[in-house]
Amino acid sequence: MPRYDATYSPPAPILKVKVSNPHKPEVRMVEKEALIDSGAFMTAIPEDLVGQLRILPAGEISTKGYKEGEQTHRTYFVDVSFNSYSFYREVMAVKRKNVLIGRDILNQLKLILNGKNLNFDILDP
Amino acid sequence: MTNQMTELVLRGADTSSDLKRITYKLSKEDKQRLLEEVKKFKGLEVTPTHFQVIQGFELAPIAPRLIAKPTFHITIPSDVADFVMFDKERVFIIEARAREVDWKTFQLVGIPSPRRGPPELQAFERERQAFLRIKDSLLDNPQFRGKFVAIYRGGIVDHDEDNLELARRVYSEHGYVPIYIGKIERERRVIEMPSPEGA
Repeated sequence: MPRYDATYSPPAPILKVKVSNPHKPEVRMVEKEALIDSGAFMTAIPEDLVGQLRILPAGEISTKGYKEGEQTHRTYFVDVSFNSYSFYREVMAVKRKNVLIGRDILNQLKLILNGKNLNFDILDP
Repeated sequence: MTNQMTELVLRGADTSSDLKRITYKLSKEDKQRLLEEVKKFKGLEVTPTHFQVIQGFELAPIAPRLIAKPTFHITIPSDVADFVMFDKERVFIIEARAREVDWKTFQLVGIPSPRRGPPELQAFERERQAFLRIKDSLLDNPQFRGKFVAIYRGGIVDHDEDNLELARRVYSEHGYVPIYIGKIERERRVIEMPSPEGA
């Protein structure tokens, strides 16, 4: 089982994901670290992927956090792949370095978080 | 900073859910133009103030309903920069916060001006504006209510309950071009997200 990433404090379930533009297959996919975040309603990608993947905005969504007020983010349709799974999803672009894997993807899978042993697994039952 | 602020006192009130938000920043020149434009709306006044301005909204869709309603206040700092957009029907005020209505959750998001961004963003913004214009008229239409619509070249080109299927279909049909996909629903899409930005 993959280990939690101990460079995060406290350690966090991180995996490598590939994000690609399914509508422009000639554009090379980008590999990024992703944080598994069951608190996230929707998967989010770093804003710098927008240019790299040459993805076009398709919508917008507002988020409300406990720190900041309401923020509006553009959304994009991309493929997110990890392990042997691939998901075509509407994701939002935000100012962050890694991808957030939200419940829109996690709810398609079986997620095991073994915090006691600092490892996790993602399965398609 | 206090003496650099200007307050727009709008004679009216509305609920935040009716606001179509757009955020731009104002140069001094644009701010002056904005103030001139705002004066054209009957019932609006401009007075000095010191209130901090951090949030934005689009005035035009609600302007007719503002008149003859209770007063609320919007403030605009004179030193906020860059973007503003006008046309004959709309005035966009950026980084403004109303004191007397519940707009405190509104926040500047930095969406670039459609007149100044890359062509694909200008096109996206045009489709977005088209969506905002027609959305309300579709709320009571059972064909569209609760469904996602795809806006291309200013009109609806397709709709579906599933936004992913809709996206696949419209990009396949029209090519990978700026298309706005939005849901016809009364409430805006606001999701709880503890920390979308950060690490």
